[in-house]
Amino acid sequence: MAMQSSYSDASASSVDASEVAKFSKLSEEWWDPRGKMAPLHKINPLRLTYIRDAACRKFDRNVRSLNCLSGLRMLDIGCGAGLLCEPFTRLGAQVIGIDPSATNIAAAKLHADKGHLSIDYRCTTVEEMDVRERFDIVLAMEVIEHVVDVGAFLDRCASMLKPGGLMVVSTLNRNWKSFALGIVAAEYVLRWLPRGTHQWDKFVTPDELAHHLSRNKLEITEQSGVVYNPLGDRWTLSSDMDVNYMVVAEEV
Amino acid sequence: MTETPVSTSIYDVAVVGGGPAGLAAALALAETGARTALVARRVPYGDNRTTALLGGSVAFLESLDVWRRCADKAAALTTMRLVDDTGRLIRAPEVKFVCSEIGLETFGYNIENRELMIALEARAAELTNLIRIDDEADTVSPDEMQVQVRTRQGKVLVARLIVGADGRQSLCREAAGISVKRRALEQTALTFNIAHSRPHKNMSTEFHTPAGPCVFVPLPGNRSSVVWVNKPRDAESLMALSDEALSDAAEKQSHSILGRVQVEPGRHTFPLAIEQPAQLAKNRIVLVGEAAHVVPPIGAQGLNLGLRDAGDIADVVRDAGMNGADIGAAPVLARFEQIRRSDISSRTFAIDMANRSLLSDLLPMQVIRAAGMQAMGSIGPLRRLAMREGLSPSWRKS
Repeated sequence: MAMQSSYSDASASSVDASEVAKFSKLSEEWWDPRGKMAPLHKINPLRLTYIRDAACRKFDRNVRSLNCLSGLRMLDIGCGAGLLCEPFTRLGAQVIGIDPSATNIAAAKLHADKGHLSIDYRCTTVEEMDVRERFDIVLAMEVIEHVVDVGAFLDRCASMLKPGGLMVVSTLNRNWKSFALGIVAAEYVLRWLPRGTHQWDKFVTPDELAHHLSRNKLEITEQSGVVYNPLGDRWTLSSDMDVNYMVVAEEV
Repeated sequence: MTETPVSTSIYDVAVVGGGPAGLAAALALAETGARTALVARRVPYGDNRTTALLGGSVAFLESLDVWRRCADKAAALTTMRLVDDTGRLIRAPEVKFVCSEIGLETFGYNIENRELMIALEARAAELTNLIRIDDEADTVSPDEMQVQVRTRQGKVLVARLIVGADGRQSLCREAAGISVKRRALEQTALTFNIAHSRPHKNMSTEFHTPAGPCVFVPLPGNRSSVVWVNKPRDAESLMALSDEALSDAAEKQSHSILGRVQVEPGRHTFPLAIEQPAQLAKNRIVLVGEAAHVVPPIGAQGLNLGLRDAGDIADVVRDAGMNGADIGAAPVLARFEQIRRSDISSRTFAIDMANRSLLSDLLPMQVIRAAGMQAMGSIGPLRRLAMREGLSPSWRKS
């Protein structure tokens, strides 16, 4: 989805009043379920429950509990304005959201403050993070199709997992169908995403993903396709992994 | 990151009001895992009203681990009898509802509210994520992301969602900006309990008088609770009678079906009214119990509705909360409104109609009423439908 690339960057450190107003507007846009980010809002509940359920299975939590992720340290890479960070914080997780876009981080902080949610947002990249930081759960949702070197990126992600930790990755497959649906349809026909959001040759096949993960002693324990049903206007899990898909990886 | 003062506590949900509906809501919400505050003075229940727990109410109390604590204080209701005592030209025949006719062992159980309260309080004390604030709410101030409650003694707490269980003069309802439509009914209910010489055989009897219903509902042993609806003036005269004189009056009204009647200490009057708020939820505040509906004491619907409010708000909060959603946000409130609205309106309408049909001096109304009762008395399927619907709405899942 690459929402993080759709806004220009600004310096996070020195923020003046007009900047605050801009971030506030951006924050509202991000969080408006019928606004510019509507496609992300549509797919968000599905991603959220998939990650939550996988985490509850892995860490033996009751999925019906209102704080099922309490005490778990979670890293959301490419967090945008915090559409996943906020619900996972409410579920008890200690969430660190990182995004290379300073405007996204400013918008995320603003929204979390308004809701009195304590979330550690940082304008940074995994490569720049302290190599000693460790997490129970690392999320890389719709980011690997944008990084320069997928292998190096996943190596870095894997190194940040605590022993027994969990990684969830979602991305786009690379084949003729994903080209047709992921780029032609999403960017040109439906205009869900700005043109140029995705480069098809950067898409990653499940086999390539599995290969990178296994090098880091991580095994894919669950995988699912994510398909859009135009009749119900909703996203559902599917065995069809040709376009969008998610995987859960754990230590072998 | 939070900007609230250090002395303030943040809760997922705060229940304001500690009557039976509020306590049940607090228990059900705490059971979901939500960090729950109950803002209510811990005082003994003030009157001697009883509740006929019908339909899913007992199952709900079982799920809260409350029922086993008070089951021995409740009397089973296996037969409900309606008797036309209007003395009018066209009178309805007697109708008897027997629970075995719809395959039930009992319609429900009648229990004194104070006994139910003791059981609810006992369970509340056991839940570690239910924090009791033994004080009254003084101000309730909702904003976009949370609601602040300040108590009489100046304690401040903040919650994402407020459950207003604070009765007819609901502060929460006012704070939410919800208007209420109130219709006084020129009737007053007198409530008291009696001991009697003959057994009730687990049968409640409702005498329909021109001034309103007079109901005798079984309590354990040779005891019953009485709700006697009258013109306000007549209710006050009964209220002023000596125990002996009221015992005689009650025996006369009961046509001595329970034998000799002896009233127990304590009696109360309640002016009848129908109250319907314009909304059940607004501005991070949802209403339960009498804050959400005031109905005349006919057909034992009031607190049964209140317990369904309590169960439903807990379900709605759990469904939203387990997805990490903000449990006080607009979609949660809309869902609660949608679930509760039809149950509450349909009950209120049915009770209002039943009551109006009693009071009517119009001959056509008497005919319709008599015909309706005749039909229910003689047509099995219709009677059984009336019984089932009286217990809980047919469209409910449980």
